[in-house]
Parts: sequence; C-alpha cells; structure tokens
Amino acid sequence: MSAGYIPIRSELPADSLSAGSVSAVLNEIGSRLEILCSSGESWRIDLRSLPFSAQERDRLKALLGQGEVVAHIAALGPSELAETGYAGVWWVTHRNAEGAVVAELIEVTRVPDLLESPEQDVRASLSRLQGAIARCATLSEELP
Amino acid sequence: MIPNESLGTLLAQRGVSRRAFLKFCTAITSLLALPPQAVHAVAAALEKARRPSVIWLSFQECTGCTESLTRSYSPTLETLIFDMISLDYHHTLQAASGTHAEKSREEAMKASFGKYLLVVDGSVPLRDGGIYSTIAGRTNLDILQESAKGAAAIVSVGTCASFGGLPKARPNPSGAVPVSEVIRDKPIVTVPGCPPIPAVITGVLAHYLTFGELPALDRLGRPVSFYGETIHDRCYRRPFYDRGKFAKTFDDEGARAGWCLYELGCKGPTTRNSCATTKWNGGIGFPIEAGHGCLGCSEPDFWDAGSFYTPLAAATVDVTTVAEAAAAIGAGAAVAMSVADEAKRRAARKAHEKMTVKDL
Repeated sequence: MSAGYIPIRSELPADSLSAGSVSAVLNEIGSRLEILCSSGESWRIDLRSLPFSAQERDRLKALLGQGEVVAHIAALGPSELAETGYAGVWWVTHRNAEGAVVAELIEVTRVPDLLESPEQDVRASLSRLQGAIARCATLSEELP
Repeated sequence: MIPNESLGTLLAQRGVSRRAFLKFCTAITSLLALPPQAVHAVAAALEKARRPSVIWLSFQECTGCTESLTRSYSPTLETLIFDMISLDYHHTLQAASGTHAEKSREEAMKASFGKYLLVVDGSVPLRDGGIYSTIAGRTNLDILQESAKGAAAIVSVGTCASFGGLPKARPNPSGAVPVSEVIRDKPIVTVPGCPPIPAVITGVLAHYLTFGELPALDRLGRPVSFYGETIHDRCYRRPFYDRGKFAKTFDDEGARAGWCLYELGCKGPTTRNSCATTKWNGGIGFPIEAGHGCLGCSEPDFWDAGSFYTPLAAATVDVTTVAEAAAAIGAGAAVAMSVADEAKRRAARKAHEKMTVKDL
C-alpha cells in the first residue's frame, strides 16, 4: 500500500475558497487564455509551487472540468495530459515509475509540447525504420 | 561510466527518449522552483552538463539525512540525479570498507582536485582535539580539513552540518560546530532540516549540474529557491491566521476545521523551508497538514529555542488580538508579530528554556 492511500485530510470550511489561491489561479488562467487567443503565446502554471490544500486543488480541478481530450504518455513513469472543460487549458500530471507525482501543471496552450514527437526522436526512428526496411528487403531476397 | 560524458549522451545511450528527458526537465524545473516556462532552457543546459565527482562525509550525525535521500518516494528523479553525479565516497552507501574505502576517497580527491563537490552531513566535534567522532582512527576535523582543500564547493546537508544541530544543543558536550566554523575559504551551501527534504538535497545537486554553479544563497547560506519563504508564507492554513482563527487544542473544532496552529506552538512564521510546497512522502503532505505545528528544524538552534508547544509570541503578545488587528489593517501587524516571534526565540535560546512534561 502506498502512502497515497492514507485517508487523512483536513476539513476546510466552504468559505475558505475565497481566501485561498483558487480564484487567483482562475484569473491567471483567464489572462493567459486571452493572450493565447490574441498572440498564440503558451503559458504554464506550476501547481506544486502554490500553497494549495488538497481540497483547494480538487476544487480548482472540478471548476475547470473535463474536456474532450485525455492523452497518456509512458516515459519515466506515466503522465496524463487532459484538456479541461475550457479548450486551450490543460491539466498535466507527471508521475514517476512508482506513481508519485513529480510535477503538476496547468498548461495554457493549443497542444502541450510533450505530445509532439521531438525532432531528435523522429530522426532516430527514421534511422531505425530504414534499418528495419533494409532487413526486410534482405529477408525477402533470401526467401525461395 | 565515463566521467566526461555529457548527460545528454549518457541518457541517449540508456535509451531515454527526448520526450522522457523533457518530462524529467519539467520535474527538475518544478523542483528548483524555476518559472515553468524555463523547461527548454533547463533541458539545453542539462544536455551539455558533465558529471561532477562528489565526496560525501558523514560526521556527528544520526544518518537521518542519508535515510531521507535514499528512502525518497520519487526514485526515478532521485536516481537519475544520482546517476548524473559520480558518488566516489559515501561510507554508508559504498560497498568498500576499511582501508579500501579511505583509499577511494583519496583517489577521488586526487583525480578531481579543485573540481569535486564535498557533501557533509553531521556536525564536527572540536572539544579535546575532536576525539568524540573519528573515522578510520582520524578525527572528523582532520578529515574535513583535508577533504575541503581540493573541493570546488561544500554542501552542508542537514541542520547538524549547517548549524551544529542536536549535537550542538546545550550543554554541547562534544564542542560540536557546523562545517562553516571549520572551513572559511570555500563556498558553502547549507541545506538544513532534520532531516532536509530529499528533493531539496537533490535539487541543490541538480542546480549545480544545470547551471554549473551554486544557487543564490541567503545570509545563512541556504538556497533561496528552497528557503526564500517561511513555512507560514506558503501554508494552506495561512488564511485562518489572517482572519484570527486559531486551534486551541489539537482535537478541538478549530483543529478539525484546519485552523491555524500558531497558538499550539507552530514555528512556521519564523522557519524558512519549502515543506509547504515541496512536501514530504512523495508530495503527500507536511507536518502541518497532519495536524502538528512546525518545529522549526531548519533554523539554527531550534532545539534550544523553547518548547515546541508554546506559541512563539505567547509571553508578550495576545496572538488572537494581534492577528485580528493584522487582518484589519494589513501586513504591517503581521510583520510586527514576526519580529516579536524572533525576539522570543532569541530570549528562549539565551535562557535555554526546556520542554517539560507539562508541555506535552
């Protein structure tokens, strides 16, 4: 059993939301979405740098809602990139191999960088694929 | 592994994809509290980084700092950072022992003279010629002075190496001092905490790797990115402090509702550390989230600064009244309270106030 299952959470009263960081982050997201619309500039907000309680984090996630796209990446542990109910606002969670969160961000962007195939990896895969094609061709020639 | 290989080459050889590397850099950027927009700059710097040699000395300590690091809940990140350094001597972790272990330290010092990082946990006893802590028949003082000569910089890990810690608590029978009182001609980074947050230890190493230099430090030598703000500044219970809502006992209605633990002795307002944001146990929580006030373990002389359960300003200030006034007139009153807290700590240290059974 991992520590994540320990069911201890402090109970914050409902009115604590207004005093916390949720409304400030929502405003920041709004401003950055406006910039994304006008100039195409992307933005990231590091959620782990904010003094959120677990409840405030959950409240923010609930307020942003769930959109149409959820992408999963398996690289040094699982990552989930989910578009929220607001197009252009993504909730990104990176975990390590044991499932612990190593980074959690809100990305205000059309497509998060990590979803694109990096140029270096594309070049490396081209080289591997050419090798595979060559091996296939050799095998075909050897076949009776 | 070849010490001169760049990190980018090393990771590529291990089959780590570019996407995985960028994910790793995102985690490092978050860890170092850098602006999230800096991920690509961090990736560019880390790709070219070379592995530094690290010599780790453990002196008058409990091994809690090493335990903190090796029991970390984010092994992928920590393992990768540890893979990026060449840990040439650490007498708890290395396989070699006795003369072989000491020889490996000497060889590493010779091979990377002027370039290696020296990490120290534990304080250094000076009384009676330093005989209260020895390794291979040599005093900690002797080994530290010898090892520091060729170091590019020193990282004092834990409150003992940083400020003397528990061995230095009164009456300090072994004459314990921090590393900075022995070595004065080398740059020293302090990473206090009892123990320090594992991510902070590796964060300092990651910063050195990424930028090739030590991070910006405060007046006590602590990295500003991790110790720039108090626990109180970033505490999720802070809104209750600002409104004057305090738990009076550990099990009253206020405590259950998550109210501020100031009146129960929380040292958050005078303690600089990143527990409230980096957190512990893989980001699950930190002591205040578990319902206990901060002990102030990353501050000098925290053990001699009075009871853990007495409010910082209790002797001189009515906490609730001042906090309500702070809420009414803004930050000024809160700052005044913080000054009162500091004065109380100083007085407690001078008077050597001890925790009593009654406190518990």
